[in-house]
Amino acid sequence: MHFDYLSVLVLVALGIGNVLFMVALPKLLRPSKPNPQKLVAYECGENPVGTSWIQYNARFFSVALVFVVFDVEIVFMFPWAVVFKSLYKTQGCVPFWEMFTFVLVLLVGLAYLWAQGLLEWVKSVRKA
Amino acid sequence: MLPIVLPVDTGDLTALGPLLAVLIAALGVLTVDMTFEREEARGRWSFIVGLVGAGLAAGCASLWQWEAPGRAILGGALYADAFSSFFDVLLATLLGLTLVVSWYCLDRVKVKPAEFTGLAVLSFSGMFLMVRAADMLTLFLAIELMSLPVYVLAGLSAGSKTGREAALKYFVLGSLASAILLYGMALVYGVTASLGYTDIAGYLATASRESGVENPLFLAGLALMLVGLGFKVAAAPFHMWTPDVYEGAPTPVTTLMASGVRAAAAAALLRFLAGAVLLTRGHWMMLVWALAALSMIAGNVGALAQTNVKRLLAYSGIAHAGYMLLGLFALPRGAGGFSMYVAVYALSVLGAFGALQWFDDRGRETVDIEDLAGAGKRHPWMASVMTVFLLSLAGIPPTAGFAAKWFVFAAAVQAGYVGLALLGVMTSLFGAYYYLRVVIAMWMDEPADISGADQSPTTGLVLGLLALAVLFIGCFPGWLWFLADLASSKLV
Amino acid sequence: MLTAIVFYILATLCVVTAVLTVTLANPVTCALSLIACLMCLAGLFAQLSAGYVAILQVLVYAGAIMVLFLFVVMLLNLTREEADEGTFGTARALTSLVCVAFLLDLYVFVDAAVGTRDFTEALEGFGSLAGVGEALFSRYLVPFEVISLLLTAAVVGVVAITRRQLSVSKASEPLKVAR
Repeated sequence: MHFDYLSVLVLVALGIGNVLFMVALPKLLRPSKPNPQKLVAYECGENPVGTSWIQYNARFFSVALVFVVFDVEIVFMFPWAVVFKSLYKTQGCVPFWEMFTFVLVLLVGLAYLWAQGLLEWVKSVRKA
Repeated sequence: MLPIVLPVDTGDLTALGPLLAVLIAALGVLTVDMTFEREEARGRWSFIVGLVGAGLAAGCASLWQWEAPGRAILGGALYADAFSSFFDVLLATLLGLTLVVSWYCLDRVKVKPAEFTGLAVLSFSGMFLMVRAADMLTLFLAIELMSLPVYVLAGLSAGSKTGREAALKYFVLGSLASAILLYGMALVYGVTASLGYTDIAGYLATASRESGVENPLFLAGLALMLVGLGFKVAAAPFHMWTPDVYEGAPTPVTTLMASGVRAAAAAALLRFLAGAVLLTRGHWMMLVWALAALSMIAGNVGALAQTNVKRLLAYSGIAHAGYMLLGLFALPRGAGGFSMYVAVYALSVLGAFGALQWFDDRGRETVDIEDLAGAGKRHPWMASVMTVFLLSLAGIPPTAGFAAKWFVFAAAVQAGYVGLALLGVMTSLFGAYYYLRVVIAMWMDEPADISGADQSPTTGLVLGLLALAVLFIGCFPGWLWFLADLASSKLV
Repeated sequence: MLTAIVFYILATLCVVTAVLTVTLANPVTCALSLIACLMCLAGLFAQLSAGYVAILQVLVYAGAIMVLFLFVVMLLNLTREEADEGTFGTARALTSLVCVAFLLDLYVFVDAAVGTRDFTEALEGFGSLAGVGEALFSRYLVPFEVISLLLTAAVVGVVAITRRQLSVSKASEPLKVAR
């Protein structure tokens, strides 16, 4: 069996190794004298207010959901772009129209989203 | 490199007509929903586009040459055959009726008409795909396309706690069922190395017994797929979600779930069992036997104690899934009884839910048997219509339900499953009790103290015609049986 | 040899992080260990010469879907106490038991079936980007186009659900900072 992703593996190993190294080295070198002032979370010099556990607005979630939808679209365009040249030789413009239909249907979805006001941040609900 | 053949010719396009009509209608409804400024105009026009789509689909489907041999089109992803056309006509009818009977009810359950129509037509486009899916990948995507809008629809009723619970329950369990189905498909693919039904059947025919029909991995995959599809047709023991979801969802959505979704799921089940894995029927018929027996018992027993009509019809639906499955024992000769039963059940249950919506009081859904008390005195015409649908569900002659039951029981007896057929007859006699309870409440009890709302005459007329059709099929079942049998015989 | 070593490392990590995902108390750490699990899974896919699926796993699952998970965690905004409540009760023990039984069952089935078919190595280019592209635009054209409809249905669903939710909560507030 062949293994094509050795470079990726090396990259991952380097990434993990790098982080471990950067954390471990200062631990060995630095003196450790904690006091309450030092242990406060660093927020660019300001004193932190409250915790980081706050409730997000539901609007972030709808945007994230839509992001996933179009992320999946990109995932399907990727292989299309890779094979388009070879497909063009055998089938002409047909693969283009195949992708065109795909994107067109999704464009209807995007237009719907827009028309219903989900892309407007402040006045987010279309007046019924 | 794979051989690339462009899989389109004009003959295929006529076969795809109904599917394309509904797909374009779905996109059209979305376009309408963003074009018009006023809410009423959006609702009305999306309704019209949906109806036109349904009409075109029914028209295209009936143009199909029913005698023509079936074939796989578009690179083997879809079938063009009489079976798809039979279900195309059925689904187009169901789509049109669902839109019409729900129209005046949407306001009461606080669902936006344009949103309902858009999601319903999208869901139906999934169903049209499902009945002609010729490989497991298309089947899975079609199931998801059908289910996703229904998950959303189930929770659309604004501010209703039971509605939200129903939506969540349906979504979580539905996703689990999809995952199980997908797992089963993966195992089947792993063994047969093909996704297409014809290829799977071909592999089973050529492979040795140990690597084919007796292969434990293959059988495990098949069992998992049956679990997933059993969930969609709500056969026991995968039925637990049904009563809660049917009760919690707004009645228009319940109408869609009980008729369209289950008809499409049943058709897909039959196509898969007959088209792909017919050779292993010795194995899966045992499972189907268990599913059918359990469904008939669980559904009828569960329905006895219900006072809520939606829950009652949910349990009766489980029982009907059991009767439906009896029709599968006619394989490999073609399961015409199964297809006919699906059609008759879908029409009757749609009528029953439609009539229930018609009885809605102003601003409130009619759900309890008590709410229907005395309906015969206040609205004799609509009460008679509801009675016809309930009698059809109970399987009492001269309604369509009786004829359909006759054919599935005959199929089971001919295949040698006399015990199961007897169980079916006994449970349906037993089941007649709870349908009659509703009928008696409508005709014998004193009117409940609710003001009559201004009901729509159009909906009443459509439901009346549907009731006449149910009676007509009951008196002359021959033609429907002929079509269903012709359609199903092309599968094998 | 290297393949086997990498496989066992990835598989072990995958199982460990999967178990951590369901047992850790803090939902955010659960989500993070799920990311780790998905990454290991992507590695396993890559080893099975399913390069496209591996990329997809990282891009869509570890990337986009996880964002959704974290948003849900933030949206629900459990307090520490509520988050810690999920302890290992009878129901969970039973569920785990069923899962383990299912796993053993599967092992038996796979074990019995492996000998019955020649599992040959995949063809050259199978599962690669180009291979998937070729299949997607010839044999699997219909499923491909159905996906676009499915995504559109998802968009419509998002609109329907969030519009209702937004009209229930106060829509005019641009950002709500609780507590």
